[in-house]
Amino acid sequence: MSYIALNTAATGMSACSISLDVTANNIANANTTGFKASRANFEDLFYQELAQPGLPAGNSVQRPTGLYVGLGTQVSGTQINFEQGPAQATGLTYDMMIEGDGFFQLQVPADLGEGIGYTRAGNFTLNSEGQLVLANSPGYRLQPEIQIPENAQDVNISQDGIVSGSVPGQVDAVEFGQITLVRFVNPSGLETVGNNVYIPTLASGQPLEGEPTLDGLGGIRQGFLEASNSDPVTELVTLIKTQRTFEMNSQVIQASSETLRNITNLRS
Amino acid sequence: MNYGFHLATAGVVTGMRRLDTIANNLANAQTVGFKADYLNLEARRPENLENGGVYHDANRALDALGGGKFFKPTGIDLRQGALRQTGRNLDIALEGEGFLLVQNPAVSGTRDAFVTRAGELVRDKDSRLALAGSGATVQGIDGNPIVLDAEDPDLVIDGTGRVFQSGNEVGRLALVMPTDKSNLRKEGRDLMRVLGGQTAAAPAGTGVKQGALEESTVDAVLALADLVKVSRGIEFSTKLMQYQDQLMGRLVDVFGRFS
Repeated sequence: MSYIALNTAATGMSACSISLDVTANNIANANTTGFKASRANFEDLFYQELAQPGLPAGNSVQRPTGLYVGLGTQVSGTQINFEQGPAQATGLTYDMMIEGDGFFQLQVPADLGEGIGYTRAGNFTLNSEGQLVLANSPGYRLQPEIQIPENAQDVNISQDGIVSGSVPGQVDAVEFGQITLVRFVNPSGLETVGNNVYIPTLASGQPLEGEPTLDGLGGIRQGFLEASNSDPVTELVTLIKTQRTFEMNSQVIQASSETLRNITNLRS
Repeated sequence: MNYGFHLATAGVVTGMRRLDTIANNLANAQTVGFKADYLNLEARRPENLENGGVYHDANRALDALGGGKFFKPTGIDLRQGALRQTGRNLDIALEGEGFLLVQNPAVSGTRDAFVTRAGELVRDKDSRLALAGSGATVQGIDGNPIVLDAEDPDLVIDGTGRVFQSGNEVGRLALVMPTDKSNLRKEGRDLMRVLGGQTAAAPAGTGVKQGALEESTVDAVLALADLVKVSRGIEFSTKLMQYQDQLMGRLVDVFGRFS
């Protein structure tokens, strides 16, 4: 009865507040390199069946349909939108952007996934040993490791991921390494662990590794970064809608509370 | 017999049930592909007729006295929801009547079919087209799930539900309509159950739109207006119950005295 309405409206409010959290995170990361916006997917909860279809309804008539009342909503999951973000020219040597579905592989602590994390952020730099590392707070190393000699000049990263440059005393360009990318059958199934890093789950499927430009992995563009794909307009519209839905659900709580008060005051 | 007391009670009971339905509709105001429920009420026939009796001219006043109200079955408002552009190639919206046929992994060994209008799709780990929420796989017209080429990121779904990857047709979404709409039952988790599983192909006008989602059909304005109406109705009915109670109290006071 009105207890159902109370709980139902509460599920609506809690789902809206999750959606609000997701939207807040999307807006907060509107300037995060390689960030992919998420959205909260709503789904209806179970239905309480008060009368089964086909039951006799008197006068040898059968109920054509059932009588049931839904019990509210829940967030079925947050879905990451892996659409390509806009390109941002920086001109820096170790800035890379993936034009396609690929991910860079990073060496992450062993308790995250199986020690390999995946990212779309291409803001790389060198560490003290000359290795390519992601310029985020933990400084995860790019996998397979690529070491740039101290005396290397004019480092070039080709579209298919070959890192080369000139070394004094040598006429031809020297190849320092090959960047490989991976992709997933279901990238929405990846788990976000922060620091722009994703790790695979049972739902995402196993990483499929390959050279850039092949198999839909996409090519690498040196000197560009992939900006966040969170769209402020969409996010603000979602924000408004979510807030209003939240308010409407609180109205239902008020109404059912009033109803219950009326009933408790029946004998007065 | 204090008949009015029971009539007013029926008003409170049905009103509270309507409140539950409105609460569920409003809670799902943001659920993609959700169809609003409506709880119909009908005037209950006079008690005498309800019990299989006939009108007696002698008892006209009693015979004509209504029996309060009664629920009619829950209906589903199957109207088209507004489309919202998302640009994601795994989001689809249905335009016109019809449903996507899906395979519900949670229920097996039933003749019932499961359908949905919620087009938030993903490729699952076996590269099949599935619903993002429940993970139910989407069925093709050949009765099997639609399996995509895992290596190929390209995916185009045309207006008739044919699924292409790099120009090759890899399957076609089964768009269905229950042969009898009254067999539709909400299952939760974005799914509806077709009792008996009898479905036919969706009518010719039904189309699929890639890169869009169908919004919930819940009309917030109407739902809030109903909320006000229903909660005031309940209040009024409880007042009537109180008047009836006072009347009884007076009767007991006045006539129940032994002197």
